[in-house]
Amino acid sequence: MRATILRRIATSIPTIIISTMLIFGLRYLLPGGPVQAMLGGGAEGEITEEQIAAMEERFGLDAPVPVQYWHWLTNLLQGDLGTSYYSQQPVTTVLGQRILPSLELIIGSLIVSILVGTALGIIAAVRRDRPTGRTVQLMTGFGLAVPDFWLGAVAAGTLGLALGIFPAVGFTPLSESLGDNLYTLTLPVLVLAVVTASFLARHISSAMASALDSPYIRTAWAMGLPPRTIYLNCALRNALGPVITFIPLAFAGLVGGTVLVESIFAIPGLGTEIMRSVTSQDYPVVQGIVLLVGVLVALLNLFADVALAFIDPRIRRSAA
Amino acid sequence: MTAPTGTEPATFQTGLDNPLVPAVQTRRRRVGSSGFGLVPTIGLTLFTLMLLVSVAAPFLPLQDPLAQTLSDRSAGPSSAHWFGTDMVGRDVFSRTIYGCRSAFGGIGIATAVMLLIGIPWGLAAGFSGTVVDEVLMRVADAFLSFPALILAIGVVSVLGPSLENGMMTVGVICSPVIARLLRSAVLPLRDAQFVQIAGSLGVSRPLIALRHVLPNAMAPVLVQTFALAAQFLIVQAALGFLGLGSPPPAPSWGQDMADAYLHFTSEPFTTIVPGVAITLGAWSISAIGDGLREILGRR
Repeated sequence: MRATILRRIATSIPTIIISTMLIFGLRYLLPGGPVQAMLGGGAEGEITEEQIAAMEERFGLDAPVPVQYWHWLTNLLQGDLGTSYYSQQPVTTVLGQRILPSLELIIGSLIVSILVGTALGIIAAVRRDRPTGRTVQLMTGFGLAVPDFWLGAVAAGTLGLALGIFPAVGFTPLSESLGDNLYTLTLPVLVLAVVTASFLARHISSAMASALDSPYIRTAWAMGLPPRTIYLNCALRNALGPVITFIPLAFAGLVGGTVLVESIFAIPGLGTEIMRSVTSQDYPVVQGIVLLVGVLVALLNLFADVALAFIDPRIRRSAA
Repeated sequence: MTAPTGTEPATFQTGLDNPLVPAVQTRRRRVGSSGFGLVPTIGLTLFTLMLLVSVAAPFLPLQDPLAQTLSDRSAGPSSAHWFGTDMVGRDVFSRTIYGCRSAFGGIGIATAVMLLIGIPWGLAAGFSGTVVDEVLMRVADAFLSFPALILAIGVVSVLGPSLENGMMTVGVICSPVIARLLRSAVLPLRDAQFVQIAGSLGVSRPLIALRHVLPNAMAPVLVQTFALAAQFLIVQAALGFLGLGSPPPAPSWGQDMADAYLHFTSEPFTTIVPGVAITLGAWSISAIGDGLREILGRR
C-alpha cells in the first residue's frame, strides 16, 4: 500500500513542475507584457520607456525569464503568490476572501450530485431495458446538454424574480447567518449539480451495467441472493471506481461552472474574481487562482488513486 | 512505460466513459437500420437539420437578424415574429437560426484544432514508447490540470474577443484528452502481429503508424470527439454569455442570452429560446456519439 502511494506521488512530481512552468508562462502570452497591463489605460505612446523600466525593476521583471521563474517558484513555496496589480493586496489575501463562497458552492453541488447521480445511475443500470431506465438515460442526456448558466438564468428568473421563492441574486456570507447562507446558495448549488449529477449517473450506469453482465453476478443470482444485495453490495461496489475517479474531474468542471453561475447569482466567490482578474489582466491573481485550482485537482486526483488502490486489490497489485 | 491500467484518471470533464473497444477488430458488423438506435437517429436528424439550416440561413425567408424595429420592442410571439422580438426589436427566431452559424462554426474550429494536435500527440506517445511517451504524457497531465474554460477566458481577454480565438484555445486545451485516449488505444497495437509483419516487410515506422495503427485505434477517439464537440457548443455559448464571443451585433446564442436574461420576467422568450437551441444542439451531438459507441463497441 505504501509503495503504491509513494509511486503515485513520484509520478505526479514532473506533472506539477510542468504545470508551474505553464502557469508562469501564462503572463508572457500578453502582447504588451505585464507592465503594459499594469500601467494600463494610457493611449499609444503615453507610457514612457522610463516608466516601463521603473516598473520592471520594481516588480523584478527585468531579470532573465528563468531567474524570474525561480524567484516566483521560491516565493510560491514560501506561500507568497505576489501582489494584485489591481488592489495592491497580497494574492493570498484576495483568494482568502473569495474562496469560501466558492468552496461552499462546489462542495454543496458535489454532495447533491453524488447523491442524485448515484441514485439515477443505479436506476438506469438496473432498469436499463425498461421504460424507467430509458427515461433516466434520456434525462441525464439532456442534463449533460443543458448549459448551466442558462439554467441559472431561468431559475433566477422564474423561482427568484417571478415567484419569489428563492432570492434571485445576492449572497449572505456564512459568518453572518448559516440559514440565510444556505438559502442564498440553494439555487446556484442545484443549478451546478444538474450537469455534474448527469455526468456521474452516466458513469455509474455504464460501470454498473457492465458489472451486471459479468459472470460473478450470474453466480450471485444462481446462489439465490436477494436482488438488493446483488445490486447494492455486489454490482455497485465494483462500479464505485468511476465515482472516485470522477470527483477530481467534477471539481475542475465545477470551478469552470462557478465562473458563470456566480456572475448570474452575484456571489462574491472565486468565479467572479476569475472574471475580474482575467479581464483586467491582473496576472498575479490569475496565476494564483489557476495554481490553486490545479493544486486542488492534483491533490484530489492523488487521493482518488490512493482510494482506488485501497478498495480494489487488483489495482494495488498491478501498481506494485 | 506505464501500462494503461484502469487507475489512470479518466480524461476530461465530459463524463463520458472511455469505451474500451477491442484492440484489433477483425470482423465488421453490418450497420443496419436497427444498428443506430432510436435516440441517436433522432439526434442525427436534429443535428443534420440544424447544420442545413445554418448553412442555408441567408437563403431562407427570414427577417434580417440585425434589423431593429424600435416600435416593436420586447414583443411577445406573433405571426410576424414567431418567438417575439428582443430589447431593440430584433426578430428572435431569425437570430436563433443565424446563431446556429456561429455555434457550428465554433464547434468546427475547436474540433479541428483539437484533432490536429491531439492525434499526432497520442500516436507519437503510444507508438514510440518509453521516454517520448513518458514526456508527452506528463505534459498532457499538466495540461489537463487546468480548467479549460478559465484558460479560454484568459486567452480571449488577451487576444481580443472573437469566436475564432476562443474556440481555438478550447481546441488546444482539449487536445491532451484525445492524445491520452489515442495513446491508450495505440499501446496494445504496438506489438500486434500486423504491425510486426508490416515492419518485417520494410514499411517505415511513420507509415505503419499512420496507415495501420491509427485506423485501428480511432474508434474511441471518434466517440470522444462527439462528446467533446457537444461540450464545445456549450463553451462557445458560455464565452458569448461572458461577452467574449463574436462582437455584439452578430447573432450569438450566448451573447443574446446575456442581453436578455436580466429582463426575464418581462420577456422570457428571448432568454429561453437560445438556451433551448443550445441544449438541443449539444444533445443531438452527444446522442450521435452515444450511437456510434454502441455500434463501434459491438462490432
